[in-house]
Amino acid sequence: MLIELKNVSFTYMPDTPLAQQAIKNVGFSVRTGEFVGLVGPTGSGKSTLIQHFNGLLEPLAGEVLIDGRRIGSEISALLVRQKIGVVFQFPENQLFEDTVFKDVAFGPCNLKCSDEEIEERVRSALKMVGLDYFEFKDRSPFTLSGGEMRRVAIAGVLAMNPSCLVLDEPTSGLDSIGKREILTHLERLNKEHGLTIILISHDMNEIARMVDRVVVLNEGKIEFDGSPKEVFLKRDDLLKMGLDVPEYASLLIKLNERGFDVPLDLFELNEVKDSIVCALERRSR
Amino acid sequence: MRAFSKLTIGQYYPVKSLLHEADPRLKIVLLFFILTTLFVVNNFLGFIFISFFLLMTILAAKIPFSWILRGLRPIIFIVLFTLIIHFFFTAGKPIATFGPLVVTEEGFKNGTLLSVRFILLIIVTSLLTFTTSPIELTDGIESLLTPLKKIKVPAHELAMMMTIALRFIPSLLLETDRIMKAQVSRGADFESGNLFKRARNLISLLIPLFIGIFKRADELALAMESRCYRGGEGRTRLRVLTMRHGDWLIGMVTLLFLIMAIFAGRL
Repeated sequence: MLIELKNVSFTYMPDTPLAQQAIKNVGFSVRTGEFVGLVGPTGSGKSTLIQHFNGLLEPLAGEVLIDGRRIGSEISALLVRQKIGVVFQFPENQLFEDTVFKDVAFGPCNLKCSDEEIEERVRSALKMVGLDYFEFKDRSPFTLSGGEMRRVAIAGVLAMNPSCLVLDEPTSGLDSIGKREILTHLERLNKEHGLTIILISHDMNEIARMVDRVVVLNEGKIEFDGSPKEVFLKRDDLLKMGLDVPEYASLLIKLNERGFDVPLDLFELNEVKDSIVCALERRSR
Repeated sequence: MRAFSKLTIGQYYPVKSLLHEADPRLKIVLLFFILTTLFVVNNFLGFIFISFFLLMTILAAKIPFSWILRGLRPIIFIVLFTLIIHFFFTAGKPIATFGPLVVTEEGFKNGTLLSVRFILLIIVTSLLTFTTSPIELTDGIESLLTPLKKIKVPAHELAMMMTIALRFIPSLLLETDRIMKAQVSRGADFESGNLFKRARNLISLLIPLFIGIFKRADELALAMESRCYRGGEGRTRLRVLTMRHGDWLIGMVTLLFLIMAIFAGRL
């Protein structure tokens, strides 16, 4: 197990009248190479949960294990932060250096890598997010487009050489080109580089198309955990929580209810189209 | 963040009470009078009068005593320091000795009076902020400063600046927390290391923070202009401050108490 949470609970401002329990007894684990989608309505505790993955928050009860070792006592926080890269919402707000190179190099510098190693890491991190090293390395991050800035910020985390990348709504606020760029690179990182990815997103179409496993968090508890097909079949429960269901899944479920024989686990336009055409042909026969 | 949550001084305590509903201008003016009285009064009898009055006020404001005490926590050290310095280092008639140190009657009296004065000072001021929301406070200050516009004091602009500054404090704290966590996730260490390394890491926090502040300021200015904000000239307000009968009464009672305290305090 890469990440393992055992009965984790967390409360903000404990022992005050303002105390607020954000995570309630969550047990959850992620295997190497998985692509997990973490979804939940606003305030369900997603952002709080991911801060436990790299030791930014310490659980009030329960424990967090990385590679089977307990954060703090058996594995140092710095090592955990190297292994588990966390990309927060609007990560472009963390850029601060005057060149893209220096900003991406911030992480490896903190890890005390040698100069050659730093250059190598920056080069490969920028490549992973699809930015040309020589074109971008000397530019100021503040002159880039929104999508490029975000990719530089993600490269800054990738340069830590993590084995798992956690992203909190990496596509929010981007135009559709910027979104697609980021998502294709994430998919490639998972498939080609074997990087474990945990993706928080509100866009269920995005989630359904990309991930192997969906975890639904609601009011600090894990409500569902399974393949996209299993989870999105609980359409009514999800809608009740204030979550969407992928448009295709919604369509297929409705067609199914009306007696059309269509499979429910399709999330690609062409497949959905073909299956509907097939079902219509069968019916007309 | 945890350190800030323990500080009550300067915080608003949201309940409904006679004092919460009073006109903020009245509260500011009365605070000014009470502070003056605290400096005029020079004996224990006067302070007893004022303390009794403050006790009544706290009860009327429905503020728990634990909040008042927590507000005093940051000044404990200063009070103790004042006490010790006065006890042992004032010339006069000795009343007790601790080894080489001599406590004098004058020192005892001055030290205690000064400490009591200081504690009461903090309590009164925090009573104002406990019972008055920041918005009301700036409204009150603006209204009180309005006559000074004649001598070119930018009353409205000052109040608007204060309102905006107050509004942004929590946002900036949140933002700082967020950026700090992002940089810590990239291996930054804000807590240990030598001075040079720490300063370098601080840059990674300060630059994004400043960029964020300027961006916010820009956006806010744009949002205000697109809603036709052009300064205070001719602007009407949503909450019009009015002195009600109860407010006049509060004012009278307070002044009466203060006059008594001053008489008792100058005996």
